[in-house]
Amino acid sequence: MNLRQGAFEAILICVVALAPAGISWILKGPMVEDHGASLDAGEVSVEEALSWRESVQWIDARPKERFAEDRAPGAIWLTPAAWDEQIFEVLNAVRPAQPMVVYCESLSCGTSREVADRLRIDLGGVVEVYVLHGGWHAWKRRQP
Amino acid sequence: MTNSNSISGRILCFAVMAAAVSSSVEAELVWSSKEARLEALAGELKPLQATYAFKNEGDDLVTIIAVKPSCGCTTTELEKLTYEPGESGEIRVDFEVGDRVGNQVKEVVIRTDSSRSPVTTLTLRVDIAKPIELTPKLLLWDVGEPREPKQITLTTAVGHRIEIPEIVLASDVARIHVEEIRDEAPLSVGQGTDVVSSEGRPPHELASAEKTASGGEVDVRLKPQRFVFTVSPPKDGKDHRLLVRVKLRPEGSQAESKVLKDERFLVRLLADDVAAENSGGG
Repeated sequence: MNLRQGAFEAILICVVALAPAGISWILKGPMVEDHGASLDAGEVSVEEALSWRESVQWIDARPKERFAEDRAPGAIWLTPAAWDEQIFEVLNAVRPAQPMVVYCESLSCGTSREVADRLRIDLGGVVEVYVLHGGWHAWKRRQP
Repeated sequence: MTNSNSISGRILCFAVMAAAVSSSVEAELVWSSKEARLEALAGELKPLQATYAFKNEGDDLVTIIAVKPSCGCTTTELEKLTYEPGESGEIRVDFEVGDRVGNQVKEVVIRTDSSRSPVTTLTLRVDIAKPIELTPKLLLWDVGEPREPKQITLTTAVGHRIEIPEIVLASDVARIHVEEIRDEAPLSVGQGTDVVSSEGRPPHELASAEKTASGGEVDVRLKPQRFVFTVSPPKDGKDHRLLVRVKLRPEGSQAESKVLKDERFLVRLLADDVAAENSGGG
């Protein structure tokens, strides 16, 4: 009897303890990286961007030291803090019909969206600009 | 029955304890505000500063064990790490504006050794206005595209009247016509100014011309300005890259020291094709 009662209480305590986490999960969604199930406006999945092969101009919006460590092929570094120094390298690299895909570190960073918004203004619609869904983490996961 | 009463009592006890814990989550380091709002102009060199005051309202010492900003653009300064019960302190957050524009939201996570309030997130919101905006920054003529004129617009924010003393081009292959637009109609005086080469061009006095023409009816100083640059490209079918520097200075200022940061844009023309280039010589 005592054993059953103890088990029941343990389960009850677990339920009470997990309730806030459950509510948080329902309200905020899972904390794990999204694997591209839902794209926001202006985003492209890593699978689609990689299918464009060399006809993508990658824009790396991560901190400069992270860019120096590793980056997508041909990527140009561009961040809001150093915009005026870097933007003309991007403008010089523009090729019509070659979309630009901006990435920052992960799904949770907002820099790529900020960079993409400013690029669309500065480029005046000459090329399409996308945000890479999942960022650098997603790109790395798709590498052999 | 006895068992169920006992369980109900324990659940009630657990709920009361949980409520007590949750109500005292911030009972130790209590912050006067966890959010600060600042305004800035793009390109400001001096860091912006925000301070967040707090007080140890618990009964024990509290030690701040980590301060982690979400962005390399913010640095923090804290006088000391350990605070006695009842003692107040503040953390200063410096924000580097750099070339950032628009609404910026940055966070600083504070970790303490308090079991009741171990983590606090401070938020800094900065609205960075750009007093002078030149858009777009690229004029591109694609292969085979008719080489008709295209336009770029420079606008100023209210209270930032400017003049354009000079436009510097790397070569004279393109022709640039500048015109200040007021109330969606072209300026009623002059014909604007053409620039065809980089050196020795007379200064532009468009803003002064508008001031003369205003006739005192409207205080133009209260209005934003809009300049339109019309770029007529060369029609030789060749590849060109042309960086254009627009020099600026505050309206009414003649001193060289008052020259503002240049605005720049790029003119690019892609060669029609090799055959077209060769046929020019034949």
